[in-house]
Amino acid sequence: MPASPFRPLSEDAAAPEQEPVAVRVDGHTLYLPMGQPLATALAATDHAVPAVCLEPSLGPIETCDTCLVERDGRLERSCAVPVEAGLEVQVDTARARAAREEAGQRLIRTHELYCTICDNNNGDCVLKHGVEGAGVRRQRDEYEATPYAVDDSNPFYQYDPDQCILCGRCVEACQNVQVTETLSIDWEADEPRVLWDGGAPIGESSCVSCGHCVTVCPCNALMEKSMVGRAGLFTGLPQSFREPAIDLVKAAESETGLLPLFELSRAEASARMADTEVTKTVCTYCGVGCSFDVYTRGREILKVEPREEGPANAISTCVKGKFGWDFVNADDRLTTPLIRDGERFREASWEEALDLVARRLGEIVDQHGPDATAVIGSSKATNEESYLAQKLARQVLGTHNVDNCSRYCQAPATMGLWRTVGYGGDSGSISDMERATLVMTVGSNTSDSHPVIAARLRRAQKRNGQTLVVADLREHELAQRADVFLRPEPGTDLVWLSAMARVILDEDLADDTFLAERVDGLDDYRASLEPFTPEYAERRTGIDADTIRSTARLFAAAERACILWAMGVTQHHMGSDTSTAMANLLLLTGNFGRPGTGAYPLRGHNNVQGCSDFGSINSFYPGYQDVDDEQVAAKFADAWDRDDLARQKGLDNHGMVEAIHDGDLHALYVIGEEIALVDANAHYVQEALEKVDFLVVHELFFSTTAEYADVVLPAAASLEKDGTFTNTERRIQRLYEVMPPVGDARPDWLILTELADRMGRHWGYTHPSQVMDEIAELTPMFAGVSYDRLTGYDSLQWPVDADGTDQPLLYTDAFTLDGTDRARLYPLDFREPSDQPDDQHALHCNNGRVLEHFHEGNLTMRSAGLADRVPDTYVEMSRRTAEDHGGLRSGDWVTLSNERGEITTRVLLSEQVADGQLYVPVTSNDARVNDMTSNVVDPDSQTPAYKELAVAIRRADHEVSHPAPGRHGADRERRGGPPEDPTGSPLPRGHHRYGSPTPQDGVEVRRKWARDDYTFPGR
Amino acid sequence: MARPLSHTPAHVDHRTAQRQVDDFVAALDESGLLRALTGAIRAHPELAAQVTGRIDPDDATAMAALAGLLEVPDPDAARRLVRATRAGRAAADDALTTAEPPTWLELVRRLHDADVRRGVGAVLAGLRAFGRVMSRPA
Repeated sequence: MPASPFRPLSEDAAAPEQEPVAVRVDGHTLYLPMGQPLATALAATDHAVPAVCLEPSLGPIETCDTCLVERDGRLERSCAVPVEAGLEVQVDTARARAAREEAGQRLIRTHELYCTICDNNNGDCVLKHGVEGAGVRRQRDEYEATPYAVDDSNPFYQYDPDQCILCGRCVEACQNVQVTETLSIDWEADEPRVLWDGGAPIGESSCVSCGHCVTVCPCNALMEKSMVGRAGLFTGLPQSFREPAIDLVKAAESETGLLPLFELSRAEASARMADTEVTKTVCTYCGVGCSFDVYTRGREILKVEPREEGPANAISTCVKGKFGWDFVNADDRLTTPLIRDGERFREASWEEALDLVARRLGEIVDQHGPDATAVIGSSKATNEESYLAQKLARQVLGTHNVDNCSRYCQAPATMGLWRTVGYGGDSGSISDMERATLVMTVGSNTSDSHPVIAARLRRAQKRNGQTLVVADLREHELAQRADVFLRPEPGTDLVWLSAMARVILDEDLADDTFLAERVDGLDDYRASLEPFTPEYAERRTGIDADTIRSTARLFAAAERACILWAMGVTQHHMGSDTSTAMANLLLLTGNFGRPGTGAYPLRGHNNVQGCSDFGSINSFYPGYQDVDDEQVAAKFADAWDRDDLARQKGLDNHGMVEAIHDGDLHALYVIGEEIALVDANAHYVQEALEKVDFLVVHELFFSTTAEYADVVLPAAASLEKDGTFTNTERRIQRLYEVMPPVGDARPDWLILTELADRMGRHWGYTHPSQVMDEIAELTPMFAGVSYDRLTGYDSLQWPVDADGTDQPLLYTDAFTLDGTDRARLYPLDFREPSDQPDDQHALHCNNGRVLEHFHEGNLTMRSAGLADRVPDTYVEMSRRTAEDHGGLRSGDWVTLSNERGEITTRVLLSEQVADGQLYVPVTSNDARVNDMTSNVVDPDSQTPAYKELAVAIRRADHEVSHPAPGRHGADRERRGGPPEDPTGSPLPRGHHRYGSPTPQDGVEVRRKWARDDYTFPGR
Repeated sequence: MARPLSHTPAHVDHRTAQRQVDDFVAALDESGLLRALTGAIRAHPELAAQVTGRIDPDDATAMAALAGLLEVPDPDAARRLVRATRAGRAAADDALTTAEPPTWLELVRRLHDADVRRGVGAVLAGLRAFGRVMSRPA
């Protein structure tokens, strides 16, 4: 069996062209793409063959035998025959037809055909098309049920062994695309079936519910529960009705053959799809930028289905993207504007609410000047909405006081890249991460926070021998798979990174040619590394000197290396410097500007990249055009008819909070950001929100920030609007309105447009495409961006020239630093972290996300399935730490505290966390870790040092209840008080962390072929 | 000074009448009736009407059209088909006048009768043609 060659699954600008070559098929000459599986290439011709088990992203797995053709007198599976010049095959011979028909018959022996009442009968059932295409006209063998029951133990999907054809697509996807390695087939069993962890219930296995298996299943064996009984015209029939109906049709089939049944089901599919919408959108749960089709009927979401042409994710999703959209229809969505009226909020019309906002903002500007107002844009909103947020601040209000939540996370990474190479974004694409021969992740829990990228890394490691180096405080999932795992002391990444750089220079391992031709500053940089000996690094980081040396050599020897980093780096008071250290290391080794190389700060929110790119940032107009640049200022003054804008930058998020405390900022306009919870030192922020004279909040739900508002405006969710997002690869993608906004909610762009209109600026936008057209005119970086070029799954990676040429890989010819074409090595010093453990606060408290939830859980805690998997936050610690603090056990309630605040939550024991350290997921509105974080920021980016936190711990059994699922905190109180205290482990017994994966080499079809009852069709 | 205030969105209470209508429609939907109806209506109403109109066995033109639709090449077979359709319609009229409808079990038992199976086959063949026409562009 030929192994399919490794290729990146995400859109790959470096992929070789598949040149058409001449192939003879049934005596005809066809020109087919070189290297493509023949079955795939034939699909678009008059010589198509079925190929039930062939899914392009999986490659040939050769389990179904429906694609057989003749070559040189032998039958071969055409999925496993790559197109090559001179290839000659016969498709339409009696022998090949008979063999394909035989293969089709075998498939329906284990799959009961009741297409018309099947939830998968959506016009694209691969199995049905395959059986029909194989020439099966009458079922030869009686259907054989298995002795296995339906497994519906997972909250999101179910497996029906009686419908399973054992094609193994699901196994291949789990083993070799997602690489959780949960699924297998027991080929040697009397009655083979798909197994989870070798035979566990799905809901108690290592399955992370990413949905790959469901997406690639060619029939209804694996199906989203949201589809079951809902998708078809007749699929909701009661069981008492359904079974006789199937019997009836089966009996008729013996007379009529299958064709009438196929036609009947085709008619039903046409009818059901006339009542079902399929709309492309882009996920909002992280910066990967997964796109997919959403199947809906009215507001009901039937399923989410990623497609191969999704540029970032292809067929991949994580549990949130595939299954986590319940919040859109949550009962407590805001559906009408609210106005603070004494000691309560009252509902108001849009006219009244917007009139009030316009009047109050105008009064404050008149009384205190434009800089007494500020706007916070949303990293979850669209690019167009970011542009309008800053346009509201700059053009309407007259201030540069505009910022977004990248201030809390990614600004240091951007600073590190601005200092060294030029653009504040990923150097390449996800496909470059896949192409790399070595990937190093630093301070990134990629498997939980960027799950699809983690899947790509696991796949590259498993299938292409990519070396994986992971540096993190926790031995999380990706760390457990790493070839090298480095566990530094908290806040010391700069030290070991610089020590690696020093080793590379000392041992003459640097890329001298690259340095000479493309990089400045080597001498100063070399001198700055003087203190960073491996021995010093060992003393300060805890990583032994030899490991630092060997890792440095490994890195320098890599043909193509990428570094990926995230909040574990940036949320330190040295975040910008540590980010810079990684860019330095890549420059030193020549790892920029080639496929498979580069620096990748993994953006955490769906549009945190775009929110800054499109201008919601205090120091730049859209496209990073400096506010102090005379020509730029003149351009915008002319375009916006406002010539009094300052040439100095405005306030960032922290500056706004400080200015409120100082009495200088009187109005704050917040678009979809939960600043009362997510900003560091939350109490301090909340005090500011109490003080500010006028606060406006756009929100989906009545958030904690909304509690302080004067006016709350109900906003549309991403599924309810058009627009674009920019993912971590700088990729701009369109999202389409899947359903209209709930109630009287409105998209942010429309709210802003109507507010501007009331304040004398008549923007006149009726669709976001008009906003993008204006952006393209004013912003060189986006000169060629238009909705026409972003139709469907088309995308563009900025910078985009006016002719539409984009840049999937940056710096191929030149860097973009300060107008030069050269990069710069940037000298660095080390400073000690700000909040280190001491006698009073003995434990370092790390914090971040978990796979199942996004941020504080405002969205994902409203998904019953996600809340079932992880009901609440917890504090994770090692057994030794637990022993040292009174013999704590999983489920015990504890209080963490410092001088700023405290939280109470349950203990989870694990070996992922180092001794003396804690990990607290930020997913809670009650146990808010930011009640304890400090005001310390990175001086270069103003990003809070969220990860520099020392706390004390004490038992708190029965003191406080923090149950879930559902909305937390204030919401729960509104619903009539808390339920009982939960007890036991904070994670359910069936959580995937406790599963036992069964790694193997894909579907392992040779084991099927070795069965006594298997014969090759046609022999 | 803006004290934090809680608020419960009045998502449901102010729309009771609308909810009752929604519940009624949802019940229709769950029964399958609404879906079947709307799906069939939205699919290809003109085609459906056209096809239905053409399947009138008392009309000579329709007979030819029906034979064509069902891909029956032989004129004798087409005549047989029309006769069978007439007989089937008469039998169906009789069946509809009986007081008690057959149970599902009785229906399944009747499938052992070769004539019944033949008839079901013919109906399904007709449905096949119907489905084929429906799935083609108008």
